[in-house]
Amino acid sequence: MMSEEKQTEAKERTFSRKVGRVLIWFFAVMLLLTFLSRAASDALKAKVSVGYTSTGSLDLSVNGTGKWASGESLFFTTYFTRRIAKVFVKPGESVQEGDPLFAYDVSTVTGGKDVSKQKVAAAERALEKAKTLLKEQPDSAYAASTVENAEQSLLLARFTYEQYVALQNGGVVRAPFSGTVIACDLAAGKASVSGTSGLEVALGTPQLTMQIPKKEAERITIGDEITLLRDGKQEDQTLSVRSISALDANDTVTVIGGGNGGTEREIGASQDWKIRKKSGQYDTCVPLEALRQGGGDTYYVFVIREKSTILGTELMAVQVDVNLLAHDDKRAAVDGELTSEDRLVTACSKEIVDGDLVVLQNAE
Amino acid sequence: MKIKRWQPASFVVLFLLALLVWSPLWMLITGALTPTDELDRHLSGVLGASGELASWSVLPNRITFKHVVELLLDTPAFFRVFWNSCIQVFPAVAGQILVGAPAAWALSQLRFRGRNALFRLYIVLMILPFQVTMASSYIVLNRLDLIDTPLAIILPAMFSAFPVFIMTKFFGGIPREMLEAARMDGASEWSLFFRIGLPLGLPGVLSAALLGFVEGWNAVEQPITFLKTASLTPLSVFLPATTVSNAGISFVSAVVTLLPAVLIFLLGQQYLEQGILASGIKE
Repeated sequence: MMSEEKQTEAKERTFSRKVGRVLIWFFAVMLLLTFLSRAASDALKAKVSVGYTSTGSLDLSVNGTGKWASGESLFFTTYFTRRIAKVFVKPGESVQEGDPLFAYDVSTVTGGKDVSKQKVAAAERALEKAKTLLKEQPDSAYAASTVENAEQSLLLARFTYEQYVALQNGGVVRAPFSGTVIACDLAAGKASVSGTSGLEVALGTPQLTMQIPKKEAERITIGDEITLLRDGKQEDQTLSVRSISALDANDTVTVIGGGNGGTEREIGASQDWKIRKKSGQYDTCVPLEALRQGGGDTYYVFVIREKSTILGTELMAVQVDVNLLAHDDKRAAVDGELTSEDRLVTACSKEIVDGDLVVLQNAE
Repeated sequence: MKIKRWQPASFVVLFLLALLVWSPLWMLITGALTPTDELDRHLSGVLGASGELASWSVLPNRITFKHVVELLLDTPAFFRVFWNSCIQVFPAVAGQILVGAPAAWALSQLRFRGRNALFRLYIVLMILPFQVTMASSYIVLNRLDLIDTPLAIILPAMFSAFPVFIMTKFFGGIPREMLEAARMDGASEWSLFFRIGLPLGLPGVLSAALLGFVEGWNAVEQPITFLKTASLTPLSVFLPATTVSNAGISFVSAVVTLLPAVLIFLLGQQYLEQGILASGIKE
């Protein structure tokens, strides 16, 4: 039989062995939980992509879609009340000087006094006079408008003369102008009404009408080049800004573009356009994706800063407030406490707040 | 069996005293399982601005394992500091035995000039508090470029005088006759140390190791003084960093911190008792 002392010793040994096993298990579990908690922590951290600050100018180009509209138009009325034999043009068609417009029925022409030639001569004199006035006063709006009116009067007088000539030469009336027919109320077989029926013609090339929001319109000035786009690609022809209207009730501005690029355009058709503009030099530009809007007009960015923690050096997203100066489609010029080395959060896998620990999407 | 008249009374008194000793531990365990709102109610008096007294209930109204899960699965920093403690304490204890055991054997068994003076010097070094040697230790560690490394904790602990003192006492208890007999049989001094000294002085070695572990596991001043980087922080420094907002986690981490110390104590309880007796330490 075992002595009491030996029994106690054996019990103590068994107890120690059990405690030793528990101790080993304890450390094993701690090791396992170390990896588990680290993995869980990493999985919960937001994964972020970063961008950097830069200096430079912004692309302040303005673009949009406009509509082709006729330029200044004149209504050319028939001088005679007479049956129309044929109409050669339709609304929307462009005509060049000398092109046939319509034909009078000349089967019953008996002749008449041609007074239209004198009218043309008078109109030509008036135009010369107006041009002289404009030369003397090049900045005078009155002189410019007098020339414009005289030119229109001359065109109308020529059209009347053309009709007289036509009656003597088979009835075909030819265009004394180039332009685009907007409307025509003449029809073959029907009689024209003197001084009432006729054709409305847009003189010159069509113009591009663009509705531009106030903020973007502020960047545009008269004379700016307008690039025309078709399916996103640049066309060979360009226009230039001719006029900029005042602000309308919708806070938009109507900008008219004209020039050679408008020839052969269909009135009413849509047209994509772009006016290229560059800003001045900015010291701090951030990727537009990095800029976040707080309440109202406040803006901020998240900067990645290294933080020494118990787990070693970790990355923390720190909120830095900035003032937005300007922006284009890709970058924003800001004023704030940013350096060229700052890494800015441009995208993150989940919502982050100031002080959140993050991991980089693509470790550098 | 005769029951003395005073025995029931002393039992009651001792039981009450035991309860008093156990109460902080009970508070730790129940605190770890108490919901946050209840903890706030109990602790807001002392940890808040009201200046009132804290309250505590023997058992929580509702038991929750939220803090346990939060600490063990959602606080990787805790494991970092746990392993920091292990990295700093276990090598230090191993070093104490490696360096201290031969020194203790020499002081207890070898006769040489100045032995007593040297032993007294050990005792003086042992009783010097850390604050006294802190500046000199810092200067030396700084010169060795060891500040802010785990070695700043490990190396000074390895050369601690306390384990040498305990092991000297144990090695001194080995009968001289036994060693003389071995010498007569041709055993070298190394053989005496390894074949007789260490096996017979094992309780002393183990108790020195246990006491060294407890001292290192609970050390606060050394890490605060010699470590600057947060990622090197050991458990003993991490724990006081908990606040009222994470009181539940604080209780759980205190329990987990306590566990290895308790288990190691239970593992070598008998040796530790002998060691404490040998060193005359009460606590």
